[in-house]
Amino acid sequence: MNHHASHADAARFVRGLDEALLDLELLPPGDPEAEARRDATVAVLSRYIEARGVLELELHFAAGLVKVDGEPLIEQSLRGSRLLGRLRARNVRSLRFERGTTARELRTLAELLLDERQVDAFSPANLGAAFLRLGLTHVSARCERRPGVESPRPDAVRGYQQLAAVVQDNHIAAARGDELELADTSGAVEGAMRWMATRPSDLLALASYEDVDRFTVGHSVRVALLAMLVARSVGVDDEMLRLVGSAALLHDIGKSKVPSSILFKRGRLDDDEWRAMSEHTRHGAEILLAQKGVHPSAVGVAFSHHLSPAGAGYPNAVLPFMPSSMSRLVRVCDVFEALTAMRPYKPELTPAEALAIMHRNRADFDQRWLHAFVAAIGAYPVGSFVELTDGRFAMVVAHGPRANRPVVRVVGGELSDAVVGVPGELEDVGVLRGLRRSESVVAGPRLLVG
Amino acid sequence: MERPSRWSTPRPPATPRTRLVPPPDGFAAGEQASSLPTSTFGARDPEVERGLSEAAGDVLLRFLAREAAGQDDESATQSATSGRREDARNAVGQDELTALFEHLHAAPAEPPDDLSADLEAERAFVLADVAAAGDGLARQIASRELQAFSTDPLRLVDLGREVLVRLADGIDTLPPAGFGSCALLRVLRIAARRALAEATRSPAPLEVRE
Ligand SMILES: [Fe+2]
Repeated sequence: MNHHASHADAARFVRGLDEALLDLELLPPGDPEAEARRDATVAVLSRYIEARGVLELELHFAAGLVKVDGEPLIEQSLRGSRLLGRLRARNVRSLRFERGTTARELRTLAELLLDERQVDAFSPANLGAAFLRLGLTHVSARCERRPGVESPRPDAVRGYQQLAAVVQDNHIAAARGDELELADTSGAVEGAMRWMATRPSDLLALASYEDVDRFTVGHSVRVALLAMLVARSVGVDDEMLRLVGSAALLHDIGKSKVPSSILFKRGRLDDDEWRAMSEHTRHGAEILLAQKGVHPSAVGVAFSHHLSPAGAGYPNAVLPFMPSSMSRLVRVCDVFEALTAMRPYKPELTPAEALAIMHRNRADFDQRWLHAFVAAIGAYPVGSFVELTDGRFAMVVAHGPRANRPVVRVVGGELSDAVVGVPGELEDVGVLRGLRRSESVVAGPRLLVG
Repeated sequence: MERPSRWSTPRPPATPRTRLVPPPDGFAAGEQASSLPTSTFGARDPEVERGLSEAAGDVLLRFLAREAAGQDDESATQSATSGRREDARNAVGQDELTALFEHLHAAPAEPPDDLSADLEAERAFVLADVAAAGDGLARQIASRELQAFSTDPLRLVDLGREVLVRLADGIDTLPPAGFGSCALLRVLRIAARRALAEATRSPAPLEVRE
């Protein structure tokens, strides 16, 4: 097995750890699925250790990132904010898993991390004894004595992690019938607003990974980011930006009530299943309506984000429905995101192709929001890559005078930026096609966390 | 094993698949899905992930199909999810991209409605829906809020004439054996009609809606 493959196993192992926390929170003790997942995670660990000919896998936690052999696991860092948050709160700098680590030990570690009464177990003085007492013989940790002054993390990474955590926490709470964490939601959205004001394209670069979470967390985060970027571009005030961000972040919360047998079904949904799936909109509105302190806009967006401006679509509303302006914006972002999202086994659409499909079905969308969307995000979004008609590749660095004439920097060319199709710049050159996310996705995040 | 994607377009013929930067380890779609035995990851295995994403794709496909057909036609939905029509729906030709860009360039840049527009109307429809078709605590809350409207119909005046007509007419046309029998909706209809009458008597507030 080559280095890449074993590095991928390290990433899977971290994801398995994160899943173990989630399973303990969501599933009853002894759930066979959760046990199978822990077994699989341990199997991945042994495979890593075997392939590398080493004795252990050591994970380092710093600056909001998890690293193996000095290399950041970006996707796991963005997704695993639950795991990382708990490790941070306990000042854990590294975790070491030796050959022979068992699924039971993984479970114990996860329980320990979830138990707020056991934070002391991680103090350097107690650490060794506490781990041994719990039977953690193959797992060890290194912790700081005091909360050190942590090096500031890249803002966009932290912001993305907070948004993802809010989506996941709220979906879990909704699935269990608990109260939502609304203050956290506002806080995360406000955080996103702050860094959006300075480097808006960072977040779309971070938001480009595949969406395979249990609650399609990535999708909700991306929809919220898109909606906030568009709203910001038309000049709404901060209060409205916070409302639209929160509403978009929670727009799919009703999916927490869709049976997992349908949500995770292999293959196509039959009509009954599809009906159940489409009820997520009404469920979402009900969940939010029953919470104190939820702004009506979030309830409305959850209900009507699958409805056209004329009220066609679902849920099959009792009365001929009128989606609000905010819901019409979120719908545009939702569909664009779903069409361009990367999925295993399935090439995604480029932004331009997605917009063409939305244009083809234009009665489904508020045209003015669609135009505002294109003006703000672009058919060739900043940070994405394009292939030019002269065969060269280029990165889009800014919007140009027209939607199909972005300002680009040619890969391997001079460092100056040029406008496509403009005399004196990239004259007689057009954009042949935008690249798919899967073709160019890693450039942005790599640069950010380098 | 890979199925043809419904949402992909044909690739341009002579374009080499160039990666600008090396894929991050294990993140490339093919690799991520292939090297893990499918049975080991339980509900998180790639097969299930594929199922999840296909399910999401299906939902999207169905609503696009349904609305493209311009009606709530179950048969249109059915046929659109199968075979040839899918591929046609999927493909985005160069001409279509050109048309998109021409449209974007030619279209007047009309600003969208204020983000607060129609929030009140939407609220009224959500409340009516949840009160009639919803469940549990949410249903109680919706009913309580609707009752407040009915005891003070003037609060509905701000919704504007179009919304009030839509509400009242919508309730009128509900099947009597179905939601038409919902007492709360009948009360809401009376309140909406009263508000309409009030609005007609003094049209000024209606005209100044943003
Ligand atoms: Fe949805």
